[in-house]
Amino acid sequence: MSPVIEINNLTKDYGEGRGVFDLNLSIGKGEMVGFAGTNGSGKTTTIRHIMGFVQPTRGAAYVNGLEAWKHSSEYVRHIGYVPGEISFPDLATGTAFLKSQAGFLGLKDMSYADALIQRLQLDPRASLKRMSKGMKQKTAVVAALMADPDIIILDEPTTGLDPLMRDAFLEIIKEEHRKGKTIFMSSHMFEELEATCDRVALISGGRIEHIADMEDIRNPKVRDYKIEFVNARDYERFKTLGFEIVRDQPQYHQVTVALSGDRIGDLFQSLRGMDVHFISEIKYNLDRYFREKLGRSKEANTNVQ
Amino acid sequence: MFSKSLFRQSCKANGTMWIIITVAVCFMLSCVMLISGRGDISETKDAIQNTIIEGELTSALQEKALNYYEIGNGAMEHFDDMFLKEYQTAYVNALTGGMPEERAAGAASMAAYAAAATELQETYVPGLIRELGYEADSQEAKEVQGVVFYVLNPMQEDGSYMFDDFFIEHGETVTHYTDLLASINDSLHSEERQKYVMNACAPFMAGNMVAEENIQSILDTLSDYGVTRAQYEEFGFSEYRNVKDIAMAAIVDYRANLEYRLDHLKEGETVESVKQDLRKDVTGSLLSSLPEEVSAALDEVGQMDMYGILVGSIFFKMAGLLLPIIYMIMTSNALIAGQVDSGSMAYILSTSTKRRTVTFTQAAYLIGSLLVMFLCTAITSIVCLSIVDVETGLTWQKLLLLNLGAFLVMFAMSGICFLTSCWFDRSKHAMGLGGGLSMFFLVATMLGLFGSPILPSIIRMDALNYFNYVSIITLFDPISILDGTTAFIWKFCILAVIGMVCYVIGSIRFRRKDLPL
Repeated sequence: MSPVIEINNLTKDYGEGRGVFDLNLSIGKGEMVGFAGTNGSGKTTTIRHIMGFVQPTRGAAYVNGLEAWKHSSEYVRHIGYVPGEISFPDLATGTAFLKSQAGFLGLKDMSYADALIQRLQLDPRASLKRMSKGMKQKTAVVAALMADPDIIILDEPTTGLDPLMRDAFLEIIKEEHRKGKTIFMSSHMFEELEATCDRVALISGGRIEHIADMEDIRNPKVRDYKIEFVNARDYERFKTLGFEIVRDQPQYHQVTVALSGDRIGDLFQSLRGMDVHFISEIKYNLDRYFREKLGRSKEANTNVQ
Repeated sequence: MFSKSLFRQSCKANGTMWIIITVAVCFMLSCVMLISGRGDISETKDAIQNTIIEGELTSALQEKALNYYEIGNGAMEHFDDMFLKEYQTAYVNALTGGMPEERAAGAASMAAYAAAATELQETYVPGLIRELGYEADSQEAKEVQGVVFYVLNPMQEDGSYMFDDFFIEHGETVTHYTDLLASINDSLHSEERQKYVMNACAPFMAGNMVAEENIQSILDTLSDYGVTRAQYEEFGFSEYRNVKDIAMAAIVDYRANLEYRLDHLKEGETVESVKQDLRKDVTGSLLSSLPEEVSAALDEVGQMDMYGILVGSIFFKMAGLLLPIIYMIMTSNALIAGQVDSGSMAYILSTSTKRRTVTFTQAAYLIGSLLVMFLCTAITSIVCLSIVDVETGLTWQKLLLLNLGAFLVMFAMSGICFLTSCWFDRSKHAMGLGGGLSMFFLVATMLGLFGSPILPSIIRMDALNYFNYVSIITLFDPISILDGTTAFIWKFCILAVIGMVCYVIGSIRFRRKDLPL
């Protein structure tokens, strides 16, 4: 099956090291891909290429097999796009804006838009000028999703939303994902990508550093457990048992061990009779994952040099 | 190519401003047309005409006074020479004739006076008239004769003076040249003579000017320009004292200047060239005809269609353009650059609206809104013209052409603004260049008006005319429209081409550039 969004050696050089360089990314149908990176790392530039707003220096972005710069107008109606910087046309109210967008899309049925408005608790009758950042964000989300597009591209969609609203929003996105929509979402917050995406690409300095499969992170083969012993004797004895100790904190009588799933029984076996203060699993998350990966690649780089 | 939704959105976004500006322009237009159509406009014309006439008559009088003074002074100088020569001969003759010395001096003086006066009359004056190129019996020749003899005021056989009555009649103190002859060898005599000439020729001229037949002949000339006797009297040229004061002041100035210039002669200057400098034109007469420039200036004012110029050149070419230009600058920016700058263009382009469609629709809105605006002013102006009762060459067809011209100017300038709006991503750059240029054109036209040929030449500042060459508004030619000539047509074509080229280039640029959305 051909990918819905494909980015091939995409380069846009704005000079002085700004821009994106040799990006490669492929997003299949129904996939939800996150795009992580700090401010100015090139997330928005990449999205602009997919939308066909910018002409690449080299390489190209393709959507449904169509080259973005030349043919974006043929497919963008199937993309629900929430720009990073929300700014509406010069219209009076949110309702007027949504109606106008529906006019552009040739959309007659507003029931899905109304449902979205309900769920996001949005009052679209407010004046566009007087809307808070969160309200604007919600309005933009409704405008992007109301035509039920196959592809959804979101550029930092949760900025400005309070935690409750963010959850409601992510819930909507997940639902769209379950419906089989292809979703590409950028964010500088790992947690929300972690909670929703199938894969997450990390971009830094205009280059994709790594693409993480969330399956590996949610169900890692090796998990870390932190154990604190009540007394020093048990602590010393445990260290002799041959578990792989990744971290040792003698002042607290704490050890952190790395265990593959099938050896969890051995651990409990060994702990029998020892005075354990607590035992906890250290959650493996995206942040740590990228830290490890990048640390390793940086080490590799240093070694080469 | 055309997006209804986008057009509707642009209408909603810019409609309020459009309505306000259109109402304001139509209101201004009807004020201008209705208020100035009440007849005040021809009074203005008369006032300009009167100012020209009064100014020209005064300067003509001054020149004439200097002319008289020079003729009088020259004649009296000649008279002195003749007198001295004759006196020597007569005195010797008298002594040889056995006359006692004290009586001989008096008799010689009498004889020399008579001889010099005769010589003046019979040789000098006819010679002067020939030299100046006048026919012997012409009006001008009579004037020259008059000046010389009124200045001399010759003593008659019976011991009275010929023109004493004239001076007394006008309340002047009578001095006689015979009194000055006693001190003819004195070093101050030449100075005394000049004062005498001045005191004689100013009253002569004044008396001449207020004489009924001369007033009548001037009025005959001026009547073509609508000057009545009452107006002429208002100018003060029929009042003896007034005319004499003008003449005296002119001669005093001239003498002071002449003395100074002669004392400080520069290299290459002769006495004659200095005199020539100071009196621009000492020949020629004024009573028979007005100077050419004056009649040309008067003709110019007389032919002016003040109402047409006010509506065409002042309103449609300048004042009435200001508000539409402001609307055009704001709207052209809001249609493209403003939406790119703020990012709201993303919503339009993410709905499969092609960039070509965006530029076409926005250009259609901008041009359409300007067209409808000037349709409104066209209707307003035609209604106003049918209401007012004013003497003008304006017709409703010409008004339509004026509105078309104003629209084409706006079309060309909106093309420039649309181009900058498509070219730049930032509003401030688009507005700065496009709007700045448009305002520059308008201001240049305002300055250029003061140097343009529609103003009467006497209040025109020619240097400002250069501004007309740097403004595209100059391609709108209301004068040609009012005069019914065809020069305005090719200028209209240029305006249309400028506008179209700018719109096309703008669209192409917008289609090809990166958008920061």
